[in-house]
Amino acid sequence: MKPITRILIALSSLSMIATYYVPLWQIQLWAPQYPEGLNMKIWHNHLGGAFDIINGLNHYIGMRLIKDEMFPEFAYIGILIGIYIALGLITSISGKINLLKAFVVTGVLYGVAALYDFYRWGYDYGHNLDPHAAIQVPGMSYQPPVIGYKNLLNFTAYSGPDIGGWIIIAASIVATFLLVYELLIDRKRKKAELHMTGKIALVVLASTFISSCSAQGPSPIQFGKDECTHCKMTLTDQKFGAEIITTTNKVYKYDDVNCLVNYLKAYPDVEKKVKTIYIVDYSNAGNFIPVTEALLLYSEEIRSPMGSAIAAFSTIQDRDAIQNQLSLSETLTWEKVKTSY
Amino acid sequence: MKKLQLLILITSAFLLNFSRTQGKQFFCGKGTSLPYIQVALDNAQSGDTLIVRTGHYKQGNLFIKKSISFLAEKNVLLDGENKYEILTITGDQVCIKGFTIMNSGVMSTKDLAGIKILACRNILLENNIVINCNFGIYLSNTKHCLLRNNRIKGNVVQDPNTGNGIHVWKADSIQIIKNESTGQRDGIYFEFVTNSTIIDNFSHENLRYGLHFMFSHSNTYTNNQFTKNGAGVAVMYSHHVKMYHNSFDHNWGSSAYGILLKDISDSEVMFNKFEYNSAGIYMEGSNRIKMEQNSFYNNGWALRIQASCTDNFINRNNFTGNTFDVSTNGETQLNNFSNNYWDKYEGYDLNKDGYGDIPYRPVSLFSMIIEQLPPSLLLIRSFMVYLLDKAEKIIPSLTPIHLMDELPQMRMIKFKETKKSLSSTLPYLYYQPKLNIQYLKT
Repeated sequence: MKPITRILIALSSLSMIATYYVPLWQIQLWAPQYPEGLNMKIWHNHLGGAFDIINGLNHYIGMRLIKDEMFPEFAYIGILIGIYIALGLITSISGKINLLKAFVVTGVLYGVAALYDFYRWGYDYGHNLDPHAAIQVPGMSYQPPVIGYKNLLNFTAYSGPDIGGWIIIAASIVATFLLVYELLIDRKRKKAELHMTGKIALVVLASTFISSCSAQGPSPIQFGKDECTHCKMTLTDQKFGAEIITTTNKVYKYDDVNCLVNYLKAYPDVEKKVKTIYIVDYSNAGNFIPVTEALLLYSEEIRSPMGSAIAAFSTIQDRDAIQNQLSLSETLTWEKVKTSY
Repeated sequence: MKKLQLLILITSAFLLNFSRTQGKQFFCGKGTSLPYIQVALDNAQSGDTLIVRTGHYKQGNLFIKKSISFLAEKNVLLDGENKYEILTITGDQVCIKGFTIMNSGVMSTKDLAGIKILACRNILLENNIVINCNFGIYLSNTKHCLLRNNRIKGNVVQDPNTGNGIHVWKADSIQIIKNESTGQRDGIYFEFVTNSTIIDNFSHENLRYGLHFMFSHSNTYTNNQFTKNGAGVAVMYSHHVKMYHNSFDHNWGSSAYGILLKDISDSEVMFNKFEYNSAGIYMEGSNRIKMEQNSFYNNGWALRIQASCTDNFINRNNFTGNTFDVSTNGETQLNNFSNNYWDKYEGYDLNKDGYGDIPYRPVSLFSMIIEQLPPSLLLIRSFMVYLLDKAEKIIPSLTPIHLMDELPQMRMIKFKETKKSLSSTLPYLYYQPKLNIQYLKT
C-alpha cells in the first residue's frame, strides 16, 4: 500500500475514537407545538436528549417508556467500534491490501447489521402498544423511520446519523475510496486521476471535522415587515421589541416583552435552547441591548404594543430622562419580568 | 283625541326647542371681540354654542371642559405647529363640528393627538378633518361617543412613529361611522372596547392595519372598506365580534392578509369580500367562528387555517381564482367545511342535486410543502408540482384527510346584494368635507 493510504487509514481509524464521546444516532420529532423539535440522541452506551419528553407524549398512545435497559446492544456497541478501530490500525501498520478489504467489508456489515437491528427495535416499539392507552387510533402504528422522514399523526419524525455516526460513515467511505485507489494502482492506471481520488477522500475526511457554527449578534428588526412570533402583529413601534437567538441560531422576534415571556412559557422546548435574549432600547430606536444588561422601567403611561408597559434602557441617564417625565413608574429586574405573566 | 296628540306634539316641540336655545350662541376668532379661542371657551357656559370664524389659528392646545357645542365656519384651521396637542376634551356632552385640525406635536412619553377625548361621555365629532397629526382622534376611558364623517390623513411616510388614525382605548358604546383614515399606523385601533360599532368607514394605505382589535369584545363592524394597508385587518384576543359586509383588498406582502384572526372565539365573518390579498384570512388559535357567504377572489391563499383552530364552520362561501384555497400546518383538522363553491373542483354531479358527488379537498400537497419550506414557492406552476398535486389528489397521503368539503356546490353561489349601508340614511347637518391639501399651504 502507498504511504498516503496507510496514513489516511490510521487517521480515519483514530478519528473514530471520538465516537465514544459524541452521539451516534439521532431521532427528531417536530409538531406545531414543538417548533424547535424534540431531539433524542443515541450514544454508544446510553440515551440522551429529550427522550423523557418523548416518553411523556408517547405514553398517551400507549408506547412503552424508552430507557437504557431497552437496548441490550449498549453492552457491546463500544466493543464493536473498538474492534473496527483496531482492525483499521492493524491494516495501516501492516500495509496489507487484504486487511484493507476486510476493513471495508466489516464496515459494510456493521452498517447493515445496525440498520436491521434498529428496524427490528423500531417495529417492536411502534407496534407493541398498550391496549389501555388514552388515545387509540385504529390500525395506526408508530414505527419510527429507520432513516429519513416520516409523518406520525401530527408529528414529523426524522431518524438519521448524528456526529458519531457520520464519523464512522466517513471513515468507511474513505476506506472504500482508498481500497479502490489501491486496486487501481495495481492495474497501473493514470496517476492524475488517482491523485484526485485521494484528494476527494481527504476533503470528505476534513469536512467531517468542520462544523458550520458561526457567532451571531442580534438580527435587526425590519419594522413594518417582520411579525411577532407570538401574537403575529406586524412590528411597527421602534421603541419596543425583543428577540431570542437560540443555540441553533434560529431568530424569534417579538413586538413586546410580554409576548416573548408568554411564548417561552408556551414553548418550553424553545426556552431550553435560548442562547441570548435581546430587547430594543427605548431611547435609541431599533438598537438592541442584551436583556440581562437592560434597565427595565414599568409605568402605566408607557404604551407598548401589547400592553406590557415596560421600556428598556441601556444607560441610567436615558432611563432617568424618561422616568422624570412619568408620574408613576417602577424599575424592574428581568427575573421579575420573567415570572410576572 | 287628535287635539290632545297635537297639543303634546306642540308642547314637546316647544320644550325641546327651549332646551336647545337655553344656552347662548356667540362667535369667536378673527374679527370678533374674542380673538383667543381658549378665552372664549373659558367664558362659555355649559349649553352654549361657540362658533369659530374662518381663519388659520395657531393658538396651542385648546381645552374643552364644559358641555358646549364648538362649531366652525368654513375653513377654520387649528394648527398645532408640530408642538402641541390641538383639542383636548374632558367635559361631557360636547359637540365638535367642521374643523380642520393639523400639525400636532410628537412626544415619546405622551400620545399627542389632533382631538383627544379623555374620561368623559356623550361626545359628537362630526365633519372634521385631521391632517398630519401623530394620533388623529384619540378616545380614552369614554362612553357613548359618535364619530361621524371625519377625515384623517397622517404622515406615516415621513414619520414611521406616527400613531393611529382613530385610537380607542378602554371605551364602551362608541359609534364610528363614515370616516376615512389613511397614512397612519393603524387606521382604526380598538383596545379594551366593548359594545361598539364601526360602519361605512374607509381605511386605506395605513402602515400596519386598516383596523386593529385587541381584547375588544362584542363589537360589530360592517360595510367598511380596507384597502392597501400594510397587513389588512387584525382581530386579536377577542370574542363575539361580528364582521359583516366588509371588503378587504390589496393587502400584499410576506406576512399580509385580509384579516388576521388570532385567538378569536364565538364570532361571525359573513358577507365579506376578500380580493387580491396574500392571504384572505389567516387564523390561529380561533374557535367557533361562523364563516358564511364570503367571497374569496384572486388571493394567494384564500384561507390559512392553523392546526390550533377548532370547531369553525366554513359554509356557503365562494372560492374563485385563488392560487391556494386552503392551507394548514398540521395533520389533524377539526373544522367543518361544507357547501362551498370551489372553482378548482373537478368532480361531477351525476345525480343532479346541485352538489358534487365526491368530496373536495381544498388543501393541495404543494401548499403543505410551502407551509414548511417557503422558498419552494419558486417551483409553483411547474410541471413537477402539477404532477405531485394530481398524485396526491388521487391517493391522499400527506394532506389532512379530514379537511374536505363533503358537499361542494357545482355552481357559484349567488349572494343577495349587499344591503344598503345603515349610515346612508343618517342626515348630514353641515357640509361634507373633502380632504383638501390646499388647506396646508395657507
